[in-house]
Amino acid sequence: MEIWEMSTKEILSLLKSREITAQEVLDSYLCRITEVEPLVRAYLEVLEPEARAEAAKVDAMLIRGEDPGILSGLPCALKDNLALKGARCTCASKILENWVAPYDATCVARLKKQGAVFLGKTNMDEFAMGSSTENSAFGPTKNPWDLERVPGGSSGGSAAAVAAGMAPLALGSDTGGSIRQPASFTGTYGLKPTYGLVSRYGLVAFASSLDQIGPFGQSVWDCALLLEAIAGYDPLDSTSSRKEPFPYTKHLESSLRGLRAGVPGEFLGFGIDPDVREGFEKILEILSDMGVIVEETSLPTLPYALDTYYVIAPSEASSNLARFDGVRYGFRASAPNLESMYQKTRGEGFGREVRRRIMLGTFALSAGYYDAYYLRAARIRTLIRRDFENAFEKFDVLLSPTTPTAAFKLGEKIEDPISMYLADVLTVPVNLAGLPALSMPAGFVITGEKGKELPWGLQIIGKPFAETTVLQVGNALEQEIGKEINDKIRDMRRDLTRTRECEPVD
Amino acid sequence: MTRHEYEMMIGLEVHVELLTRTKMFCRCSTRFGDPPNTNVCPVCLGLPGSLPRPNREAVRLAVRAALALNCQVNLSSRFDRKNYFYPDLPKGYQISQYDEPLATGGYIEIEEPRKRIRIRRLHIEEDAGKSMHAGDDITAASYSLVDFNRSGVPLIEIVSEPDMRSPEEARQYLEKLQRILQFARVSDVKMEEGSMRVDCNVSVRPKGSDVPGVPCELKNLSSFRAVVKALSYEFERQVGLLEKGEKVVRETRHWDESKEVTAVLRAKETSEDYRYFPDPDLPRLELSPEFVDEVRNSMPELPDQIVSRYVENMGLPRYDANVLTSSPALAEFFDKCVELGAEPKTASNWIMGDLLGYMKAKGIPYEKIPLEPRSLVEMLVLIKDGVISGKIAKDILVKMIETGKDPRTIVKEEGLEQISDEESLARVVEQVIANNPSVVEEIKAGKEKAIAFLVGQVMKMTKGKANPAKVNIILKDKLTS
Amino acid sequence: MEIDVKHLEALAKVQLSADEEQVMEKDLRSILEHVKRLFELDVNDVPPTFGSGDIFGVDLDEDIPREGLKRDLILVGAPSIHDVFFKVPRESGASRDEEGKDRS
Repeated sequence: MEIWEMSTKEILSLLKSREITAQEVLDSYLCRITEVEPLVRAYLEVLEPEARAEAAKVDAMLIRGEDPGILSGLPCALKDNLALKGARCTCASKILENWVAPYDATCVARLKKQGAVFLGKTNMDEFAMGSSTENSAFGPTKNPWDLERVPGGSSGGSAAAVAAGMAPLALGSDTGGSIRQPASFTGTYGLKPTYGLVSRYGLVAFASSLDQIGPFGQSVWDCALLLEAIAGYDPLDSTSSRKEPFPYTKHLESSLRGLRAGVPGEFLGFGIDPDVREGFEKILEILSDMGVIVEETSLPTLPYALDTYYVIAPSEASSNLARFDGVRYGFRASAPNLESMYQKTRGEGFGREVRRRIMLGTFALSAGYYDAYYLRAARIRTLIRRDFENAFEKFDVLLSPTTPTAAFKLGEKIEDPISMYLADVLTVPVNLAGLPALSMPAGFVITGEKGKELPWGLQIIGKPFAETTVLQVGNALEQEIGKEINDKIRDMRRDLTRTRECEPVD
Repeated sequence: MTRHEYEMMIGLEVHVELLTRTKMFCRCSTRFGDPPNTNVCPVCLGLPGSLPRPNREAVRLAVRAALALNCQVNLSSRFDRKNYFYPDLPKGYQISQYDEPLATGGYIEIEEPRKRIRIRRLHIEEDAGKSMHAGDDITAASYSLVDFNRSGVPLIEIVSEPDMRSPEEARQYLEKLQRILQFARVSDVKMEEGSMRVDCNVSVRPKGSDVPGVPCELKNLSSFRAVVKALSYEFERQVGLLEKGEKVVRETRHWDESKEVTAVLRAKETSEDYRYFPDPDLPRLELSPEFVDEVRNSMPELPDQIVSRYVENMGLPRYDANVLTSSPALAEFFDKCVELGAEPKTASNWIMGDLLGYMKAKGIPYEKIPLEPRSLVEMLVLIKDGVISGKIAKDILVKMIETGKDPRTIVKEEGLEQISDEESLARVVEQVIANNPSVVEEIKAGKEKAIAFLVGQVMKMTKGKANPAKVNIILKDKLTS
Repeated sequence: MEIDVKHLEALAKVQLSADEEQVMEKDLRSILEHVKRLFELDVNDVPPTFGSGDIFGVDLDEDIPREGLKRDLILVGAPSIHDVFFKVPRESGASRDEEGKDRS
């Protein structure tokens, strides 16, 4: 078995016991990237020389008997909206095409401290706006399960890299589902932490009150490990919480007996694919058999969450993206005067979806519309939070599918913004309430034409800062159903290798 | 109607830079005059991914300013974003406080006429960088150059009610505001250096009317003098329009210093919809009552308190008290003199007369008083003890300033002690009498006023060091004997 | 519903072609149509939520200077510089309406 085919936990234990070196691990992944990246296009940039230097450094520490940190040379991919000093950080936008970050995001600095080796920067929807990674100025990422389908978004590159075996771990960001939805589409594990648990310093902001950085992995344990490395108070982010983070990996094992899980009826009313629905019911049965008390519940304002989100997120984005003005960094269009320099730089530098959201947000904040749109949405956000608070008086976790359907086809929704927005209908409420939620592969649906199997994800939502509970539920369920899923992932990866051998690309 | 039948309503918006070491939302230095673009970091350059981190000292100084201006400090306030594009505004928005400011409802008292000018609100915000336009005026330049050292420097904005009725009242308000903030050690408050910036809102209406007129906003005012001139110009302009039956248009006008007129630079733009909304990067600013109490208890003595101390406890004339409190450095200097034993009125006379006269002539600012209080007090002691004359003292004061030496050293080195011993004086007097027989005759003939001439001759021969009172006595004695 | 796309372009400083303007107006209209459902709820008595965090009161940092970025590092990524300054085209004296006419 190649190193890249092992579980993250296995690799880490071999690294710690010095049976393999960080450089060997890195080589294996670089090899895999060479093999299938031309098909998947998960990376915007592979940082090979830098990664080699980092891996060598970790190996040197291991030889000296020093502790290189909990990641100990594990490779990790970074979504391209996270600042890594000295590396380009484009947010998949023309406007930042050549911007090199002169500083490290806090999460990046923390990963460095724990011995992570950065493989590269992954593709995404421009400025994290989108649900398919098709809104990248540098071309879309493909879903490794079906190369004609999207990997989801906006963290599609990170999700696809992990799914295809091109990275054991990756970081993404989640504003309305941008970790969970691609995790669901690619059969990977993705966690959106509680708002404030992970510092946003160095994450290029989309919507500041909703953005959270979180891990992708090949198991619940992977997510716990990566979260452990990045969580915790950061004075550089005024919204970061002083709550002590947890050694999540050490508390994964727990019986689910007596745990109360609520299933909000409203979640199931959003045009859920019947196969996904059926799979979801099956998961509920498995959980019941494991001793979980599963009950239906109601969160009456949930049907308003998507619209609330599509007022608040663009409003904040319209202001957050004002700094891309062609003055200090990034792209500048040539123009005879200041006004046209601004207008052309931003008109040409931003892609369609970004422009759409900037205009929408500008509208919602503008004189005469602020009260009706932005302020009203902020009030409804309170109702949504309260709904969750009430539900969590009765339940330890809430469950739903992560997405109404499995991965859709490239180009299928790109011309219709609203149908694209609906892909986030089950994930968005969690961001509005600032809650933690995990998406884990929970089953497969068979697509019509080719009979290909596509994964779908289960969303486990927890109380604020109850990442431990969420991860415990995920971990217990993974013990039950993970083997079948891992087998299919192995098959998918082999198919991918074969496709590459049969149809050389570019 | 004539212009005398109209009145002005003036409201002022004053921006003041706070005296912190670092910026409002990052820890870059606020030092003035450093090389361009050297005091910058991801936050104040608005780099992608950076986040603001508020400065405790800036909040403390803003609260202190609010208390010094008799405002109500709101324990809970909020930071908002003011969205607009300008090259020196790195994030495309300015962090400010919009509908929940730090403080509300204060006032400043002015003297003539004695009245209160109400302060509507005081809030915290961040400064922008500096744009320099290549070429002299904005229309000739082909490009602008931007320096971000000032970007993010903490500011407070103080907004008055439209309570001022004349340019002179506006000037008094500004001077008083400047003095209060200087004494509170909140800011340098220098218009020349840009640490104090003033915008005016001015309207006119017929006297007795209770409907406010249409206000214009005046910008680009670089001195108190410019404020007064621009307001006076604007009064005439607006009255002129109304008299012609025309309407005043609500607009922003710039003061043209060289032409001494106000002019519309550009018509109101759509971009003046600032789309304020709460900054999602910053939780609310919550202050404890203890924090505010601590600021209150550590408040430096303010000018009004000092004036009444000088008048009531030291018996100084109100005029003196006002002059001595025109700057914290001056009041400190005076207080130190009194503490070292100087008689208050005597010290005040010397400071207001010779010291300030010298500084004014040399263009030395108040905060750079070129003399130690101890030296001045020692000099006053020498006068009192009769060691030097008041006349010589004037020269000694200048020498103290220019050489930095203490007065005793100067007196000794230059032999400036007053000659009081009778033997020495008698010798000089005899010589003067011998040299001026005709004058002596006149005096003996009854023209006693001529004695003054002989005293003058003695002073001249002693280079001013003779004790004039003693010379008088000896002369009279010699002439009558 | 009045959606003045040109006004939004001016506020957001995003220039669109005539075709793009049409599509934008259509898209905004359909999104706002969807969002209209928010008007169903009576929320005037509900306090707004502007952030997600659990933070009561922003942390205040001590006023101690720290090293920033080296000037060379920031100027190297700038679209245009002059000496040690960022360089931008001047403001035009023309009004926005006149500029609008120049657009292709």
